[in-house]
Amino acid sequence: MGPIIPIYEISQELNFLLAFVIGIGFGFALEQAGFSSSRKLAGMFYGYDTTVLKVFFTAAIVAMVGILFLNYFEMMDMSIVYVNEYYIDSAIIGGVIMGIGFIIGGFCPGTSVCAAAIGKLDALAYLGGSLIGIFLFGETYPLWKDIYMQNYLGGIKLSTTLGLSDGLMVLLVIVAAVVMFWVGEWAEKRFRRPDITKNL
Amino acid sequence: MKSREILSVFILALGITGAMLPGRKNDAIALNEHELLQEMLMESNYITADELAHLLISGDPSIRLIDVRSASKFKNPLPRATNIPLDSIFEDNFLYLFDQSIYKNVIYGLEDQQATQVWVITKQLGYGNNYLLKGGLNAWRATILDPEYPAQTASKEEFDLYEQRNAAREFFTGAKAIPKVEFKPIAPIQGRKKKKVQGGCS
Amino acid sequence: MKSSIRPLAIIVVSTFGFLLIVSFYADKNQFELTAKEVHDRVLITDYQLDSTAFVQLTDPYLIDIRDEHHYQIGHVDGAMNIPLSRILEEHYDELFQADRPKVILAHDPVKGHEAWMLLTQLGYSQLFLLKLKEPTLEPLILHVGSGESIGGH
Repeated sequence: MGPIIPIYEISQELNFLLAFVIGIGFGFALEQAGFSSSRKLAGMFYGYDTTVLKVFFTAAIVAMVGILFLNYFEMMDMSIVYVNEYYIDSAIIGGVIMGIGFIIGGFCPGTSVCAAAIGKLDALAYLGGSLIGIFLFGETYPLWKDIYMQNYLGGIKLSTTLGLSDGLMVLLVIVAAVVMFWVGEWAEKRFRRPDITKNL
Repeated sequence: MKSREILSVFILALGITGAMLPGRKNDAIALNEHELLQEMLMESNYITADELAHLLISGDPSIRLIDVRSASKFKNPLPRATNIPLDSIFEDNFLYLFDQSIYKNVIYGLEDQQATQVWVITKQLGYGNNYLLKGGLNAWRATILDPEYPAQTASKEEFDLYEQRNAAREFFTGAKAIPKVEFKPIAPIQGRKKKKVQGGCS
Repeated sequence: MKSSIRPLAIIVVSTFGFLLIVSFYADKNQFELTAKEVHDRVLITDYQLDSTAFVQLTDPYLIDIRDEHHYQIGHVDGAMNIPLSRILEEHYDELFQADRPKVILAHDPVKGHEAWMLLTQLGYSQLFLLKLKEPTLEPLILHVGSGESIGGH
């Protein structure tokens, strides 16, 4: 069995169209999971609602298992899948900024677009802020360039760094996910906040 | 509550199955035989010594020369060539030189044989941007470093080509210019001229 | 809850099945050898014949891979013409599988090596390569048994 779509055989336009359809699907899934509500997102931080953790871990393990099995059955080629490149310093700094922004604003960049699409004003403000931030970063890029580019590790995978096989890595993440699900369920009961409802 | 337990067990079972699968490396970008044949027949995959000389003189920064002769025979290479012997192209520190999209690799050997073998292998693996120097180093030497003076009956184009090659030769060897070639068209046969009287007692 | 999950499951399973079917009909490659195996094979250069080794072959097929045009101008006695562009046509399969030495004749060494590597990677064996010298076609003088009746016409 060959790959489903040989990469060189689809045009750039079709590629964009596919990305557009997948993007709509992604936004739809986010909205359906309730991510357009900042109460639900902030619930992750305070522990009364762990939907975020469950949804993202589910997405991760579905994708991981899917890629693992599709690769095994020769329907896709894992070696040419793009792996995001890793810059240690900018990953840490960016992670801290993103985490603070997440808990202050109550959205992460993707969900803010999602919530803005259904007309939430706070999400629109958040989106405007992130666009201003992107603009400022772009304009002052030469100042940050050195920090941004520091400690470049390339497109590395956790499994190769730890010397594990991909399959074993998938199993470990699944175990971690299942444990987190049950911890999340327990936390939702422990930090229950009946006063915060979904409807506002 | 029941469904959560079932889901947990199911996903763990999937994970264990996945962990037990042997690793597999696919090669989706590799060409099949028809595609490979198409590439072989496409003239744009080959580069002649004249074209290469032109590119090098114009200082094209995207050209990377790859010499596939064995390390012991790596002598008098083209300027700034990288030596990757045929028998070591699959070593990790060399393979990435073929599998890239930044440079145009021009593969050459002393003759066509080794370079062709490397070129076909890289093509079949699906790597782009690899070109083959036709005739290899011997053709380079014959056409650029030691251009042949065209026969008197040659066409104007051949003389122009000779001029270009001479200029390229100067560029690559720093040799002194050979006196410029004058293209003399063969004079059309004209009406019989009056011959001087020869011999006799004049 | 259950009612919303069922159509979703059906969609997922049918997409997966569709992909399975599509990928089953995808263009596969028929190469018997991997690129690495071919690489190991080309390091042994015994497939290139010189005229003395060529004479020692018993009853070889001679395959001229030049264009028809060049073939008609002059060719080795008993050689059949399979231009490189048509070398993968199915009716030649039987010829390449025959248990006799097959000698590829080419004047352009690039094309000769390419043809040899392509056929070798497809799993055919007993293939050799002989370089013709153009325009004299030097091996023309060699006497070779007739191979004209074969060729899948």
